[in-house]
Amino acid sequence: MGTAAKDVIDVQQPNNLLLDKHVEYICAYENKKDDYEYVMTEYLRMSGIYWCITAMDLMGHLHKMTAEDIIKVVKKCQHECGGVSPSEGHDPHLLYTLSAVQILCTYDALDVVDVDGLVLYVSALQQEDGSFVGDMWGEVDTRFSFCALACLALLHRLDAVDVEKAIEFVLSCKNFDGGFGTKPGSESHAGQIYCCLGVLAITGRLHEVDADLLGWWLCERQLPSGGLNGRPEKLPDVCYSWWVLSSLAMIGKLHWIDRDKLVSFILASQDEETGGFADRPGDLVDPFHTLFGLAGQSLLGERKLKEINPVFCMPQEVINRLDVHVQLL
Amino acid sequence: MHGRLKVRTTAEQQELKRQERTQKLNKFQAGFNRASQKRLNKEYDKESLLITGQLLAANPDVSTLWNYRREIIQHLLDVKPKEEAQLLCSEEQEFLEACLRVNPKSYGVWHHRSWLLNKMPTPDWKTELQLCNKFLEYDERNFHCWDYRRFVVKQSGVSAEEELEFTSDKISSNFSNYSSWYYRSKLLPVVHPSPDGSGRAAEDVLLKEFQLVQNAFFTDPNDQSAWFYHRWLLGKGEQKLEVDCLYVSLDPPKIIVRLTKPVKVGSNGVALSVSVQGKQLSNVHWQNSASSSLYGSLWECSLQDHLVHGSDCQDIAVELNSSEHTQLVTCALGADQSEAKAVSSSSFCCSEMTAAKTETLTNELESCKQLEELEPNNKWALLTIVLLMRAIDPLRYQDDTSRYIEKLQDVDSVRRNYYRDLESKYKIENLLERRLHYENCVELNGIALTALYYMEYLATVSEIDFSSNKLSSLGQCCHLRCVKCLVLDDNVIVSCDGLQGLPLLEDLSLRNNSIFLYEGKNVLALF
Repeated sequence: MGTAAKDVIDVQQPNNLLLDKHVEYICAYENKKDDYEYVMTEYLRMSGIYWCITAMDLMGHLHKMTAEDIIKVVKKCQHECGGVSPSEGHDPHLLYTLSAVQILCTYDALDVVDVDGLVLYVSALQQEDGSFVGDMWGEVDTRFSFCALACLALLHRLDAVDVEKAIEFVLSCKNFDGGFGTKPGSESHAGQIYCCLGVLAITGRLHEVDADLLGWWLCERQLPSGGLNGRPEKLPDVCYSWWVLSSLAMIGKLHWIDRDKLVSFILASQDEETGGFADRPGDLVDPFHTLFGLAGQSLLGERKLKEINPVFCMPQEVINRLDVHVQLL
Repeated sequence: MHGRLKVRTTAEQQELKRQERTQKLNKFQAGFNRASQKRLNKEYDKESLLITGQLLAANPDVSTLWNYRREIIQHLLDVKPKEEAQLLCSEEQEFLEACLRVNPKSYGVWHHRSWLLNKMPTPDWKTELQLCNKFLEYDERNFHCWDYRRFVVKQSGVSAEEELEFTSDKISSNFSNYSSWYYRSKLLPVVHPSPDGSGRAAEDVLLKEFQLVQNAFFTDPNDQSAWFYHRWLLGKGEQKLEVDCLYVSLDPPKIIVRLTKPVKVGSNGVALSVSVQGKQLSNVHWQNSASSSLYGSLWECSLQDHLVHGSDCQDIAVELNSSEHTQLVTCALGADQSEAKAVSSSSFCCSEMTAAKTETLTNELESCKQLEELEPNNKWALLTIVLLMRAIDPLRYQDDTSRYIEKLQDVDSVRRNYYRDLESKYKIENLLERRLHYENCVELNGIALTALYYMEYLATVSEIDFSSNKLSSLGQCCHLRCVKCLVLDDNVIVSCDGLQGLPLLEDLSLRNNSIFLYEGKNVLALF
């Protein structure tokens, strides 16, 4: 008696990148402001905007988004404390502060916000043990370590926090399998691994990772369908094409997954009718999976897309323009 | 956003759904607006609790609402007498449990609960632990619940022994145990610390774990978590910082120091000081072989003006000073010698194993081979056999290891590149185990190498031949600090990156590779 391995049934269609449909999908999404999904995800709108514009930029169609409106929205969402909220009428949080910075960097419009205020907000969230809380309510998570350092790296203000302590905290989250969890003592998870590796890449400390052990754990995320899951015994999901893949890229082991099978899985998760990507073939699409499906494709060498930076999940040309440098093994 | 199947519906069904959703949407917006208004007015009353409760029960990810709810509860706790405050908190606990039944994986709900428990006048941690037990019954892999459990354990002083017992129960009664095995890896070193202070668990305890994990994978040979845990049991502890090799040369006059792990030398890092003929040198400038990083395990400095030709024996000493270790290594450059080395005597691969460990691992190997007979294509058994052979005696089993790795590339073809790199790593380890890297000439040709590992260990070699392999990148060659002649013919090299700055390189051969024309021009520019 054994447990059946969790996976999806091998799906082969669609088998090419439906770029035009995805452009259509994102454009339409921006205009569906009364749509149920749109309104109910107001609590993460800033990240939603970042997913949409980054997807469009990767496809070379950023000009189709209304930059002015978006920049106005971002500006309105910066609170007095310096942090940014997901939408008007919501409280600020580190997650949306990062998304806001990513959006403004893409548009080269950082001057519309109070940058010193942003830096102050982020640095105040660092705790004594080097960890970061997401907001004043005190939730600690390595995702927030990444949000803080990525934010400050993009603003060239890493000096505002105790980087050594931040690294120390992240390293204290390292596990028996080479991976990282949300807090010290937490199980490894691909999303958290991405965040922790991101911190180490930004601070030039990737040598502290056991790249062979972690790379093995990461390449074991690939299932017979070709898709990647986030940890053992879980279903494959297109967003892990990003979290796992970019992690592998940061430690120089991208070639340890089967590229063709993964591409096949990602493409099969597209919706031929509406455009966009879903978490797996046959499911409903959304902008989140659309960005990460495209980002994964870019990392795998899709030439119709711009080159993506594996640490920031932003076009490499934006990172170059900002003159930001990260370590990659 | 996850796991929602796209279902085809009729126009009528679609219209019904649209109406339903519009209703929901309006209700939500009205509620959210009302709550926001009340919050602006600083109203922290029953109605506020009611509205936020209704909204959050269906939408637990709207963190702003949790924030407001916390403000309400904080206010009520401040104004109410103790018993009422405690009652309010228990009602909130019930509310949260209801939320969890619908949304057991919401960050917002779990975080609010831990916030609440920290605020409660008299928290009942036993109930909280039972809540965790219940939710782990529903889903043993719910990491939110495990994190909450660790919070409860910490706050209430539950012992690591008790938690270890809990993991044993879980493992013996369940499948899908990755989270339990993981927790065990954290608890073992706490309950049974190794007397050497390494932070690992005591060896005799680890050896018993092999029995436990073996039972697991014999019961279910496809239970990944047991195999991952097994690999961890086989692993070595944290590498201790030590000087592995001290090398001195006369022409050019320089020292190379190889350490067992990457460090930063200089301010805020470790100190490496040099003495020649008993006199400490000042202004020593250490350079890292991996020039793009501040950290490295191979460091070099010039001894220009400090070493004399045609002299009698010259004594060189290097002292390593770090927070974890201090070590003095000496080396004597004889009168007619142009170079000298002092090297560590430890074996490269194998730390000394106790008889108990050798016996346990040998039995493990037997068991895994039995499993292989039952399931010849089980990649976990095949890989674990390889890992066991490497742990027991890499050189004795080197041919078997190659056979198994070849089989793995076939049976688990999705990961063939991983296995190829693993094979390459083992081949280089075998070379180091034979101490062949202390020769002047190293040949590793025609063995299907796909990756270059441990190049720091070839830092003192002057002739290296890596031809007829499958190398595509030369990034690791930056560590070949003494190579004069480097042969890389018949590979699949795409870029010469890694060859720049090799100080003693005189002969380089790159015939039959895949270097782009652009790169080809740059090769000449490198020199």
